[in-house]
Amino acid sequence: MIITRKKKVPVHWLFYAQLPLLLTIYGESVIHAPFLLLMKKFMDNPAAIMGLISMEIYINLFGAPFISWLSDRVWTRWGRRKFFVVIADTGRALCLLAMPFAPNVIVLIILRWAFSLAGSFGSMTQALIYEVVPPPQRGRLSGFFQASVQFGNIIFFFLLLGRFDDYYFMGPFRYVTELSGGAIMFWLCAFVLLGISAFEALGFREIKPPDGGSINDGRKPGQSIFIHFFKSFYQDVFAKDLLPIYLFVFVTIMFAVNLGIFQPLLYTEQWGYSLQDMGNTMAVGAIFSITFALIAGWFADRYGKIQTFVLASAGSLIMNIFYTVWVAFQPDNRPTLIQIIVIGNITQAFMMVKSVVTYPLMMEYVKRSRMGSASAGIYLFQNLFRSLVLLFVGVWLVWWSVWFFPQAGYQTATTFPDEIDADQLRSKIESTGLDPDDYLLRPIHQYGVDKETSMRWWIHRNDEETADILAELKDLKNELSSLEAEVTSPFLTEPERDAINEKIDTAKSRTTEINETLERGKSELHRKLYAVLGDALFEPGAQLRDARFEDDTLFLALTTIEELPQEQVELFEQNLNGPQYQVTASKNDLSSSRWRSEVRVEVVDGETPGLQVNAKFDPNFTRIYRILNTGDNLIPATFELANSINSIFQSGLGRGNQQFTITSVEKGTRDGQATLSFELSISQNALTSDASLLAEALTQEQAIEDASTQQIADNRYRFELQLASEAMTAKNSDWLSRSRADEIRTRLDSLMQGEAFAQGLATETYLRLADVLASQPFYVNIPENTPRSKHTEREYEYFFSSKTLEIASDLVGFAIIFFIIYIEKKGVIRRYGAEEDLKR
Amino acid sequence: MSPEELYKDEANIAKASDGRWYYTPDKFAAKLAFLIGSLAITALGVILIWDPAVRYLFGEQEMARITRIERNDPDTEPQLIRYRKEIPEGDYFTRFTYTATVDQEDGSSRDFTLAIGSRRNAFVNVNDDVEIIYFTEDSHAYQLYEHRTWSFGIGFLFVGGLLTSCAVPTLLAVGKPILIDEEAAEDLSEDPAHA
Repeated sequence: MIITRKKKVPVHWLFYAQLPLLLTIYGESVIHAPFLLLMKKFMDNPAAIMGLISMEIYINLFGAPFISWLSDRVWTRWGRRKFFVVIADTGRALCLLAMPFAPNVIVLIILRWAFSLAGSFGSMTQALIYEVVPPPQRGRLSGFFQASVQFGNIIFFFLLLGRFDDYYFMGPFRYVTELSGGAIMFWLCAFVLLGISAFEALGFREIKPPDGGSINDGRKPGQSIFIHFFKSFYQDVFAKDLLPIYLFVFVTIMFAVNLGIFQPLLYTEQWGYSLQDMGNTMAVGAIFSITFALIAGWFADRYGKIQTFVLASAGSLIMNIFYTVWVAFQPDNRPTLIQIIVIGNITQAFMMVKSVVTYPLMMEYVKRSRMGSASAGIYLFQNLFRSLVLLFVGVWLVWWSVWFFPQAGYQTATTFPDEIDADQLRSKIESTGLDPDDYLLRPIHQYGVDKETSMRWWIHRNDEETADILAELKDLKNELSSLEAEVTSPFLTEPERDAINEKIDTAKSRTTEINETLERGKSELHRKLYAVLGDALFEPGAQLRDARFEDDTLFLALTTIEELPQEQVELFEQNLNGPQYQVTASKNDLSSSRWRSEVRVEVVDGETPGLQVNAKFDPNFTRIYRILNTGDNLIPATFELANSINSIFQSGLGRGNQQFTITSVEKGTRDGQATLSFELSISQNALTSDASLLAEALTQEQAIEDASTQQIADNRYRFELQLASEAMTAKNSDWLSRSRADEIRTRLDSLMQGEAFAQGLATETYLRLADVLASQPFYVNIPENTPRSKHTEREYEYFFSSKTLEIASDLVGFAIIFFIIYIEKKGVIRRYGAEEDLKR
Repeated sequence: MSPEELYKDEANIAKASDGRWYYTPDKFAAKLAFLIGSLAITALGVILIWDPAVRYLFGEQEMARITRIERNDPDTEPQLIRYRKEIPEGDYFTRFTYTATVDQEDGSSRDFTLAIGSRRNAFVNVNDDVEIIYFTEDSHAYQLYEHRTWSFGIGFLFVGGLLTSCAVPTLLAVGKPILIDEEAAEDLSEDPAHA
């Protein structure tokens, strides 16, 4: 229990006294990056997001100064400050609790404004703390506070930020519900604010001051309290002597222009890092900040505040320019995490120095008797300027995108037989009668490679309608999500439930329409380009140099665009692992047993790089697949079914060559339904001989409706499986896989002399191998004739757009600093505060 | 203004026999409720951390391989990803659940669903190795050295612990007088935060 107005307080009170402000900062941590990620659920446009968020500042603009002013002039049975602080923290907590449930962007942004409005009641939290801690002990309080803030930053960024997209559905949650990491994060912070408001209410006691003001001081009889506040407050704040500090406020805002809450999108959407990577980077930055805050204070005291400010500003400008140029020369314009930490923290060090000296520097221009008014004015102008800058950052990101980047539309990735540049591609398009200016062209490269020429090109066409329907699709998904949750409510009457179901049907039908429109747009671009560029594209099947199937071993020789590094070969082999391959025993990193596929890969060096793959298939698998395969080279369902059966037996009986054998596989029909039967011989060293258990496990597979077993000899069983109709007949609904399979069909025919089963095996293997090879961490591509088309949203660029703005605003900041120095030399402005100190 | 005048409406501020003024905290029930609430948050932290912690302490620890990833997008059939490939980013409603397979010494294998999945993006791909902790009778497992396993447990424990450390002395102070110093030590009008 702590009380105000003590002349000296015990040391542990310092810790407790800082908590109202500290835990408020902790609680508010979700209102920055995580809130943006929550907004992204409903909208993508940065200008709209920033426009909506920046409006909260206008709500807060008059509220906070009024509450602060009022708290000096009232006394209630609950004190004069904690009364407001408790309202603030409770209100904010309730907003945070509700935010994850917001069904649409309107409700979410209203909650954000309410959060901010509640926050204005807490504008005098610092005053409450200073009333507890007397001046001689405030140095230690400040030390506690700075360290605790940075500790909180480390916790938040290192542990929590990366959890936003986690999805908790088991463990302790399995009895309750499925929860998103984002929601838990908001509720954790709500608990922090609820907890601290309880502590403020019950653990703090304000002692009535003898010199407390009254709301009637200076107030004319009958004058409204608001009029009285506005007159007295704004007469003070808009006085001419405070002009220099408002110029400084503008300067600090100019130097602080940055991506702000869009920072996570730079890391995740543009650079491809995870939120956890970003959190780790920020956590390291927080450790640096503690160190540099201490050095900055010492430097400012030793060398003068204005000199320190100018030097630090020059340093941050130089670092901004350096960072921009550095990243421009990095492959894919993507710095490594180490580079981000090093360069980012050097820049941050200069920013920290500036932030440490700014406030004391501003106060040198203010008479001591005017500090209260100056602080109020700083608050007012800081918020006003900041809101304008925030709004402009959002608009700037949109402009940058419109100027330099593709807007929503459709795009196709194509592969040519040789490396070409943009001009060559443009002339190819032009020669076919299309207008190349209608298309945006971009070379596609492996990660870490930047070149003007490429075999693969990305051709994009903007489409205004796509942007609108994608936004509508997003709204529909949110609406459906809310309606589907609502319709399960036990409190609904039948007519209400029917009405909601009707809304769900309408939304689903519109979703289907939109998806069809998007598919049509994609196909249209694809057809148009393929019709005119088809002959110039990579020759179908030419990527297959050789293909053979002998003794259950498939040999494929393939051309690749990039070369697979020798050191990645083993990793690549491991990543081809699957139940269709013969396996050999090995150990993993913890010396646990592990079975490795018998797939061997050799890299072919030379002008045209390539790979040779020897994949030894499990004979049990091939016996099933040989019967299931109906002659088409691509029915993934049959390939998966053969895999699943083999996998279930491997899992139940054990891996290796000797555990079990599948023979006499036959396909048939019973009562119009497809069946598959086979004999299973279980060896002595198998893990079980209970065939009924295996049959039960088989029925868990979606493609198997029923499984029966009959013993025909010792450890020999006849299995009969009733198959779901899709298992035997369904072709891959994925157009892309079908097209990729078709493109190698003729080539496989000539290489494998028309053996359908082996061709199916080669096709499935080829598709898997190409996909694994193209994925992280290999990023090696096999050239294909099949163009890949998709619809896309507007593309945003966060790094260069924000850095150019930062550099420009830094230069404006410098111009104002030099203007301040100039008018000070001319005697237009004076350092009243510094002069008073010198006279003391 | 004399203290008598100043504190005349304050029920629990009184002058003691030594002639000085003391404030005696009250509201035992409310402060007890605050303590119980703080302990409840701590307990939530314990619950969140319990499941992985007991598996770490008393269960099995193995390097497992991701063998299946199930992708669920609203209004589309769940997509089962059985081999490594580029997994396109989804949106807020896209959910990924992961199956990790442990090869046993006897040659059999066990499948576990990772207890924490993801939305929007897949955090691992098929055939990635993950170190998991589990009980053999479980159908789910936790990744050992991953923030997602421990973060919220630690977070709630930290917050609950901090609030409990506030609630305990607040409750213990009930009925114990605190001396009120005679006058304020400063002129708050100079305080920048006091505008």
